[in-house]
Amino acid sequence: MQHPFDALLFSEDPSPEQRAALREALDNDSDLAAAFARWQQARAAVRERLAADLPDHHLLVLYALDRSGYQEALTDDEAQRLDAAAADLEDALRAHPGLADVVDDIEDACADFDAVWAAHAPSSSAAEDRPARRRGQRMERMRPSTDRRAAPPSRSVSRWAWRIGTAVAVVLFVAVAVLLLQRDRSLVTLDVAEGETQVVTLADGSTVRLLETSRLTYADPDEATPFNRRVQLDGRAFFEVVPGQQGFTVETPSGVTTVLGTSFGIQADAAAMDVVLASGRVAVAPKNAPDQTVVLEPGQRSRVAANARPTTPEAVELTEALAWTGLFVFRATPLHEAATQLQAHYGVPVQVDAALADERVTGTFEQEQPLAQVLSVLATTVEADVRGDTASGYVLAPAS
Amino acid sequence: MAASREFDAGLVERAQAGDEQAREILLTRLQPLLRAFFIKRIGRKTEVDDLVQNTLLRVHGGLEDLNHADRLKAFAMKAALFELHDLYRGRYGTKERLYDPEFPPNHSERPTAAGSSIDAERALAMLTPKARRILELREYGYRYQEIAEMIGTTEAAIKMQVKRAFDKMRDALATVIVGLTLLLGSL
Repeated sequence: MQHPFDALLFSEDPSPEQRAALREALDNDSDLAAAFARWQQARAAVRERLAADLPDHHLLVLYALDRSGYQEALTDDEAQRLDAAAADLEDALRAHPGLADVVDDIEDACADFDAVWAAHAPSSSAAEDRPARRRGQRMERMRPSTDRRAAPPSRSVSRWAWRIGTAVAVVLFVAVAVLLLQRDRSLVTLDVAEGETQVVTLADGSTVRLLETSRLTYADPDEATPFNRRVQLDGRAFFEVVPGQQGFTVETPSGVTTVLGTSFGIQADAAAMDVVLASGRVAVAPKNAPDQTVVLEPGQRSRVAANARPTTPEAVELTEALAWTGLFVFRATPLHEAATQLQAHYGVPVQVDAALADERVTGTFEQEQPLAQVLSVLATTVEADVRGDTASGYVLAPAS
Repeated sequence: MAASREFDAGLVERAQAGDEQAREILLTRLQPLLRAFFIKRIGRKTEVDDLVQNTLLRVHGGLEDLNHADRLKAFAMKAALFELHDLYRGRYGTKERLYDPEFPPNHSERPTAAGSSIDAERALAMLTPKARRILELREYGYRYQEIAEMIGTTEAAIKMQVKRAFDKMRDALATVIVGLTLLLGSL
């Protein structure tokens, strides 16, 4: 039989009904409330100790790769970090039995990757792509640091010298190539007048919602010169970039945003740009300091001022942070939260059946669209029916 | 380690040298492979798209650091594992920030007679090794179903362990409260 506090122990995203039931149970049972407090304390203690003993979880991945025979996956720098952390990692594994399970899980993941790779990219001989040591062989946990990658320092120095030389050559080549291309290609410039919004579909299928008094410039593609997925923006725009193997770059007067396939909003002027990421991942950097990159995760914002490091990404509520785009931006948003936002914007009650409340919806909608249209699309994605009307309010219920 | 035909060293080297077409081919070929890997690990979840894109971005951005062109597989595997574990580690942190104001309710912040006498150490000491192991995996970011697969049992069995641990903590606290009540009554 389900008890209200099952939600407390097992639910990752309790529904309002579950919360209410739990609240009532705690109000009526002080022993349960005390036990709950201690339970949270134990969880917090476990969490804090894990964080203290394993401050960088990537090290655990490197450790498992190393143990699985994939030492070659590690850069010299990573190998050195792993060596330096060896003693601490051993201590963490002893103190936290769960971490040993994590290492085993990573090794299983390596085996899965092996299998997928073999299916998608068969090797030209059976002996290829096998790690030096196989999973389950359980070699020593960590070799002494003197035993691993004893490359002479000069090798590293010479490689860096080679890298720097190559980088300089590549930069010079790219600079010359860009200059030549710019001379050959005509530029498209779109200016959006005050009070207007323009949606542009680029040659690669990506779309740009360009807000009023904004300018977008890009090289006009033709048969000889395909779209280079590079645009200049002065103003405000919301981008939905289709996945592509070539990075999509947005330059503003103050910064550069690079993505592969994602959706994000940029507000830029001569002094700074604000970037809010809806989905995927973007890297932002000041225009004159491309090495000062900050990577944004979905639901985060960063501000880049000219010649200054981007601000630390901060979490934002997407529709609120992107309100200036005139869009509702839902990305794996619980349906009840989407309904709340729609209700607030349209001033019409929107209720969601409890069975659908936690369903996640993803979509971008214009705020000028009729509410019924937006609800109809959302309902389709979660297999629901829309009942009611603007006068009495709407209800989303499981499809009958 | 030799490379597969689809990812031969020559292609990787051309991509590293700045050949955009080679880079495009490389990433295009990696995409379905990564998708299959992530689906195998976490199922057909909405997060898979982001994981694939983020891994491609990681490979795209780090290709120049790949010392040997024929080691692309290991390099891509590492990138995918980093993204997968970033996902695990971020799963509950965000939710807790989102839901803490309402869930758990204020009761957890209210000091009680028993609460003042039992600190986090004692709360931890109440856990069996198995329950602690499960809790560690949960706090690392795994879901109960994933924990069950890792430990080789069912999700129901894992949840039963958690429930027992919670019940044990509850019983222990009830004993403390009764003890305190008796103590106060005798004064």
